[in-house]
Amino acid sequence: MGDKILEVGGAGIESADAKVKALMNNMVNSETPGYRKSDVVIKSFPTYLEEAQRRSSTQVPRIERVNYNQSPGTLLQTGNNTDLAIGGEGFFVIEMPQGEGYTRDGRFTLNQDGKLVTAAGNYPVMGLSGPITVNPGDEIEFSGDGKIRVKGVEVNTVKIVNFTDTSALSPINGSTFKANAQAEMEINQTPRIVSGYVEASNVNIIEEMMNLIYLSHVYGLDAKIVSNREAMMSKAIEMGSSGQ
Amino acid sequence: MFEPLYVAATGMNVFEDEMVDITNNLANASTVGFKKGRVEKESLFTIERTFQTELRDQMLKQGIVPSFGPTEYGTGVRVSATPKDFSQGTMEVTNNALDIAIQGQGFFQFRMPDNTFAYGRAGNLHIDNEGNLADPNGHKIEPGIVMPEGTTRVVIRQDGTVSVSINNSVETTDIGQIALVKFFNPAGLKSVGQNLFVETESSGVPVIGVANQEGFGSINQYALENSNVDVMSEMMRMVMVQRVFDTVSKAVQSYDGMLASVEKMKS
Repeated sequence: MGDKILEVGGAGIESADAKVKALMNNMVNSETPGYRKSDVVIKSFPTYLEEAQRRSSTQVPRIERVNYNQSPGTLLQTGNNTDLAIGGEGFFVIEMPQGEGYTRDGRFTLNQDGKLVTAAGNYPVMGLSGPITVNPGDEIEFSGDGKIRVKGVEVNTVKIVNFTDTSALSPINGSTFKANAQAEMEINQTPRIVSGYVEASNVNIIEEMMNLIYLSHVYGLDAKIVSNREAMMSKAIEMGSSGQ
Repeated sequence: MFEPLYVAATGMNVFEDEMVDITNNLANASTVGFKKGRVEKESLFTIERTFQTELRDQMLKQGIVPSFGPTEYGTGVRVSATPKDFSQGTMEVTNNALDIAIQGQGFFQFRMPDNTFAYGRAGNLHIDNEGNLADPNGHKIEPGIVMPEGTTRVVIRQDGTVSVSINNSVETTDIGQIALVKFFNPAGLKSVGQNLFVETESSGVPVIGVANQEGFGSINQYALENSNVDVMSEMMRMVMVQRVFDTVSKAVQSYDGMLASVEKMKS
């Protein structure tokens, strides 16, 4: 597109569409435990490179990045003692085919081999001394500091890791993340674990609905910009076609 | 194009499944030995390979730190598992000598018509026309217990031993012991209807034992285990699912309106 105004309108629709895409995903996952809300970050960008130095240049919106909001969700009581929630910051470590995964989704169950696995995907949960395993059929207990006891004997500790910068995490799905090479990670020595609870999604559906209303207006306005510009251009073409 | 609509569709499917689970739980709120279902949801994998991510990777490879971040969009939600919650249901006292309830983790073992085994917690037993102890659908308890003719009183002890007195005699005769089985991962059992479950790979193989042994629980006569469905929390779940479903469908309508405004761009 050579026309600046058309370009602004088009880019506006494109960025609003990307925002709706993330918003719709947040909405359908508003009841998924451990889900982290995603936001599309939009930044204005000069249309033409040579204009960038000038004080007033046409700026179009561009998608900068998709950000995953790591603020905690509320706790839901499940009554199942292998369901865990983390108080404060940090992530559970799970063993995935792609390597270590980090999640706050604490829906765990004991499988037939006595291994503690995630309900979503059956990936083993890591403790400080390897994957958490008990003899099949044994009752497992979690204390508030992450210690795991079987019949009163301490066997392992839930591994919780903290990241200095959570933007170094990239998502595998909406609740499980993998760490980039730049990620700085440390093991939380004093974790707080709540057994019998899971952490809900941190999506606020009211906020999403409000954003959707706003986005639908952005969409409409950008469409208006394009259609007005189109009308002006066709007028200009008519002018040129000498009185026929 | 239209990704938000596909994403919304995954959500609506999941909420519909969850509604089925809730209504099934509610319908069985007073079914003996019923275990409530749970729907475990999981967000779908993110789409990573947008052009921007590709460009970013290439720039990083060349040692240039790009000014923009990765763009990964989620693609919706799905049901990852529908485990059963095997927590203990409440005990109801009855007047029937053949009503027994397990307090603990065990299951009764029943022989199916095709000679396979099924397992259940419903202890509303009956005597069939041949004197066999069986469930209301006629599945015999395994190992079988046959009531002798003229049985007037049945006593089932906590360890499952069945004693009967014949023709009102004071003496009782032991005629067998009700066996119990346990599973390492009961949540992996598959429900086959009629209050029965069958073993699967994830439940592990059944361990046969008797009541009062470790992990099997005890048997209580003149009692039935009610459904463990909590009507209140199911109703709460229903309200929430319904609201999210409505909101998503509203969002679909709204997005449809946005697409219409794009359509109207060209007069």
